[in-house]
Amino acid sequence: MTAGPRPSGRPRLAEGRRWLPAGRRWLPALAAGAVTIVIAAGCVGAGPSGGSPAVTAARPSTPIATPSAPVTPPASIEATAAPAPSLTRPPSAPPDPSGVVPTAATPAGFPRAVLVGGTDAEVPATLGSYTWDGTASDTPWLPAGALPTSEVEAGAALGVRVDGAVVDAWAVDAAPAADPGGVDLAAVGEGTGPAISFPAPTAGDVVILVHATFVDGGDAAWYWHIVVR
Amino acid sequence: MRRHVFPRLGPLVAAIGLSAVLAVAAAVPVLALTPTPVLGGTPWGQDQRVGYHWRTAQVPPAWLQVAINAAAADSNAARASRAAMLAYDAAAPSLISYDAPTRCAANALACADRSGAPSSFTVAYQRNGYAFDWGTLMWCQAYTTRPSGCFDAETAGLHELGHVQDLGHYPGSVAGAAYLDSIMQPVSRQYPATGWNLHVYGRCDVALLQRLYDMQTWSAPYSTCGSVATALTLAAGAAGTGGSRTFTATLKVATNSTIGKLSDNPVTGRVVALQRRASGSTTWSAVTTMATGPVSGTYVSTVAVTSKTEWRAVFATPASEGLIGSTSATLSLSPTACVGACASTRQLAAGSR
Repeated sequence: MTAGPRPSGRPRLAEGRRWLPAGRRWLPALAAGAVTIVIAAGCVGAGPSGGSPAVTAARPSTPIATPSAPVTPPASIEATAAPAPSLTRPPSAPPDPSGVVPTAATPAGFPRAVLVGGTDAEVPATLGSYTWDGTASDTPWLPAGALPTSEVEAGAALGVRVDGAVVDAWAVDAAPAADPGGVDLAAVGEGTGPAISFPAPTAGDVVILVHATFVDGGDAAWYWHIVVR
Repeated sequence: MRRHVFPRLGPLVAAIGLSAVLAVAAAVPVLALTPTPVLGGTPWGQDQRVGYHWRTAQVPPAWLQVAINAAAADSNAARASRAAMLAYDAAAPSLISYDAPTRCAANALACADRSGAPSSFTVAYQRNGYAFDWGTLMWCQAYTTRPSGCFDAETAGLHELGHVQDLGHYPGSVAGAAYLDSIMQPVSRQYPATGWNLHVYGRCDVALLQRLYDMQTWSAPYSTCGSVATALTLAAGAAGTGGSRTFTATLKVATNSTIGKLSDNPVTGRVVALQRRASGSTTWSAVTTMATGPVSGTYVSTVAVTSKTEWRAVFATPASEGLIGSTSATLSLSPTACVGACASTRQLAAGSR
């Protein structure tokens, strides 16, 4: 075959910049996008089609409960062959009164992100999917019920500060808090470079996903639940 | 091209927010499709056979074993490249587990570790019924009747095996139809949301696999995610009987350090046209479609040159793959009287411009 250079370390095979020349002219779009999020939040929450087919946001030991999902998950195939499928914490996991699921920590040195610009000084992110140093971890959309709630001023300029990595590119999506599966997603904005910024909605209760890729490889999906006051 | 979309906006939006939506659609920047990013680490060897088996004491249940093996078959069938071939092998060093909750990070329904490549990898699935903060995990295959909100274990398996192959997460917004361009999205979808049961790599996944591992054959199509430039050259042999000349065009991927193993690949089995025009004319006319030559990436035609003319070869950008068309330099040729005396083939570089 041919002799193109092989990637090594955390290689990147970009074909130049991902953005077209107009890529920086997004600020008007973000403002309009925030309006759209608010509209979508109200619409989804009230409309007859607002029920999500996705899995519910449920704290450990809480049965599934959404308009379209069964209150109790159906018995699995395993359940027919083995006694009592665990629908809560598996036997190997010790009870945790804090409600925090005991899992492996994220890799050493993994970047941390905080939301700035809200009424709280800094709001740490909840980590969803990521890749880092040869490892990958995959999650579904994290619903509002799984996230700490923070308040923001209507229309405030929000930003995300990332420590431990340099952001190469980022995208912001939002879904109404009433949409636990992230089905009614709206794209709020995208950009390149380390400065992640976007406007808060003018009203509403939404989950924000910021997906960032890093200059030296890897990515992170960070979530916040924000309520506009 | 990727565009922002605002799916499932209801009548209220139509009535109240249409102008805002249109403003967004008009003003939001447009992303060009790009290959899925590399996860990192050492790629596998080309067509390397990579086996896996079940981790002792954490053996997946039968329904999950079936789904995982199906995902491996999906990967092999959809790789469209010389990426690693994955299959169950009881003697292989790589392990797949149906896990205790401490192997994957918080909130993860599955995870992968390819830091052992090109020798081994690990993949872990979280248990069916596990209670996360985000909800109770349901694998669709664990149920005789698929419940709403379940995750397809075969789709998750192909996603994890995509990580094993060195695919990272696809960047950008996860809203809209662009989700289907890659199975490596950072948000796993649940039944019955669009994309909940993808069993093939997306075109942007294939684009990276082709860059990392190369094409299976020189005639195989290049992924339509991203654009790969080509280079076309044309040479003419010595005049033969009746002034005939054999034209040889050579089509290859243009030299480019950012496209990995694709750089300089011969490109075979495409449509390359031979064109000519009278000297001084600006209008080209088609002469013939060149036949496949004896060497990979070459195309040949024998044509009589009876007057002073200019010649070129043209490879038009195909609609069905991600190659960019190219045109050769122009050859200026005149009829020659040296029939039988011009035995040696020569490239008429001096006539090109």
